[in-house]
Amino acid sequence: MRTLSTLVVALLIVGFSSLAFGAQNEETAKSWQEQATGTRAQVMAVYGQLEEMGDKDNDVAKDLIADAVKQLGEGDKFMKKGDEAMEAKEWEKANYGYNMAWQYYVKAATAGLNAKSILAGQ
Amino acid sequence: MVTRKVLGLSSLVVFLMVGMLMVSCQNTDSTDGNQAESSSKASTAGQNGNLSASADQIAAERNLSPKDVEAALKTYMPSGKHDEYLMFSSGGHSGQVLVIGVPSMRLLKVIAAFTPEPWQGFGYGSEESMKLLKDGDMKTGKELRWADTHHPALTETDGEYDGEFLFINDKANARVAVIDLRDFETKQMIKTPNIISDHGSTFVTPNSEYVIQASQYATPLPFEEYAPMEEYQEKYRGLIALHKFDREKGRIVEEGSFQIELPPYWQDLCDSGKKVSEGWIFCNSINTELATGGIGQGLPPFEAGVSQRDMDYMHVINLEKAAEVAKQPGKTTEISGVKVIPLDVAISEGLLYFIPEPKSPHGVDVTPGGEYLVVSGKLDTHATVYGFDLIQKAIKDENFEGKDVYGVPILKYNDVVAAQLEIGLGPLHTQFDNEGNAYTSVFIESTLAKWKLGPPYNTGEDAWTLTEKVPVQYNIGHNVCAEGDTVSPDGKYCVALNKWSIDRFSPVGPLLPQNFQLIDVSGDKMQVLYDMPIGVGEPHYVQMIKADKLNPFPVYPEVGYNPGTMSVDPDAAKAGQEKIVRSDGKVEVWMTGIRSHFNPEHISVNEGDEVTLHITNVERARDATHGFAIEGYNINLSLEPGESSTVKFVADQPGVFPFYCSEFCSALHLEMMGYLLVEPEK
Repeated sequence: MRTLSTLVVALLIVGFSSLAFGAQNEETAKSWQEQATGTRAQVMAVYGQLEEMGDKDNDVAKDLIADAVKQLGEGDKFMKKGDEAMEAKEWEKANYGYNMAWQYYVKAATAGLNAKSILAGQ
Repeated sequence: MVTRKVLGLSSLVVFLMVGMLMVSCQNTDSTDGNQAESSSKASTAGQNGNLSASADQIAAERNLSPKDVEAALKTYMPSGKHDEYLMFSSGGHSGQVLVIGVPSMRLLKVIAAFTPEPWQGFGYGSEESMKLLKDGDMKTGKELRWADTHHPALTETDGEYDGEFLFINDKANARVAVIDLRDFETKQMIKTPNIISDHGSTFVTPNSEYVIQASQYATPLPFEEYAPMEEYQEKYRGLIALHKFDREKGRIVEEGSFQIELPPYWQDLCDSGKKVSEGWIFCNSINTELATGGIGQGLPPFEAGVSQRDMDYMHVINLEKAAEVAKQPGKTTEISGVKVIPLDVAISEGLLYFIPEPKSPHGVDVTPGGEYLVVSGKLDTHATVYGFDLIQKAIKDENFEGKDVYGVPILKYNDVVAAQLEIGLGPLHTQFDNEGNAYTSVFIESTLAKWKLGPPYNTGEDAWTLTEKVPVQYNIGHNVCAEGDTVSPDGKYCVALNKWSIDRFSPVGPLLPQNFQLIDVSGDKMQVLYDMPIGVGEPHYVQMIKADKLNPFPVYPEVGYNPGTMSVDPDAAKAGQEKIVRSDGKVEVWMTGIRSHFNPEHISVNEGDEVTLHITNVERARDATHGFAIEGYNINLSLEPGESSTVKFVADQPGVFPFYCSEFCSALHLEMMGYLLVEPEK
């Protein structure tokens, strides 16, 4: 099983290393898309680990996992908006969609990592 | 996965021996007589072997691991023994300041700062406290009775905490309070003109000449002016207030205070330069995008708009030069009665420079020697370290990459960065120890990261390396280490100020306490020792001072002392000279209190009379505090030994109203009462 620290490093590298947004053009939209996509992948990795660990019937961990799933869902909605805007070459909207998706994925990661921390200490 | 083991007898004995030895070793370094005594007793108990057997049983029954027992040994404070450090913590929404002992994590006091607090009689009738609260109201007269205290700042001498005064800000209303640590009471409250919110406050210069307060959410300047959001770039502004502190008076004073206009980039935390960088101040900013939100209108919300750019701007301000410019005729504009250096003057006089800093930074922390500035962008993974010497060189060489839209010169990022470390997901704030280590809170991954500074603190391969992380529970904001933002940090302890506690404490409904976690940083590995719930608000920042630097009054120095003026009040009632004086529609009473009576005990007035009570606690015994409460009149005073206070009210309710001592003072405390008799208007 990958350790928490490995996961965090992975999140760092994929989720935060390619930030370039501000000029509102195709390049920045792609950069935000890449960032959001990468962060989502890492959130899913956390989720996979949590599945592997099981929730151990821990209500607190269950609640956090539910929150992570909800945040992930919200992120996915914005991801879709970003993709649609990208398709329509509306770079500003695409930037916004991917940025918001990423914001939600970070929240999902926070909740998931806290759940993992609780389960690891149980 | 961690499996908790129940201690066996032998391991516990070894553990306790180690623990005792640690206590003993700590005491070797201490000059505190109480602690030495404690050590002696502990050793004796250990030698008898009695403690080991009983402790083993307790540990087994409570399912305590060896680490748990070690933590308990490091934090337990026997009755009557005093803590080595005191923390001054913002009380968040309570608008107060919390005083907490370390390592015991015992709450010692809640200092009333901005909000009424009945135990201390703050805001319940005493003239002194009512005036203070009024001073902090809006200039329109609108009362402000809540506050969001954020950053306490102890006064410093040569960059060391001196234990004399404490400043605290109210983020919600841009106010600053001054607390005198001789009696731990608030002496001054200022509603800062021109701004209405502040986050980067309070911070002091190394000799506390200035208290620094930066605005947060930009508004028109002054904030009472109206301008629509469409005029944000043109009309909205940030600002930094430099409050001149007169140590002798113990007050912030108008003369020498000034403000500097800044672009509307939400200015965030600041820190003062120290030693080699003394005379300069540094502030973060987080909205160089000039985002204006508008989610209701289908526009990107602030959370997205404010995090668009890769870089924001650290503000580098030449305070020494700014103070000189503020004195020069024609260089300032008066706004709301305050001298303000306009932005164009700040630029032309070379007072303000920008440095690109990782996106949405939250902390800027100057190293003990003043050589480096550590910045952590909460949406970046690094601690970015700027060299003060590099900054100075770039300014001297005018080596700029350009100017921002307001004309402020921007230094070249690569020319001023001394180092950058991968810290973790969401780094925020950094404190330091006495061995060249830095400790950075990491929000998203909920850890405290320890890393080594570069030269002169560490050299070779050791320099700029991440050495350890310890998980904390959960979502750490600030962290504090013992004297960790001064020129000579102590190490020993850090405290993680966690925003969420989730499952750490017994459930108390949906609103959960914050979680202060004490961490031992004295060994090779950091160890979380203790969880302290904070259930009065969301504390933000804390400073931790060596307890022996504080020298508070045990009782007020003389009978009749007025804490507002820190001198004997000419109107103070004296023992044996109690009296009631009546004139047309006015009743003035000079009253004393001592265990267990007030004198006089009967006060007869007519409905509608203006009543003034001067009450003195004539006790000289430590802790012999008396309260004075009048039932039905919303009046309660706290009169500490020697203190004199005045309360004025209109007797607008006829009837009989007992008054009594509201602080349990003696065996006959219940008998310490009297009657206010209000005869109805005829």
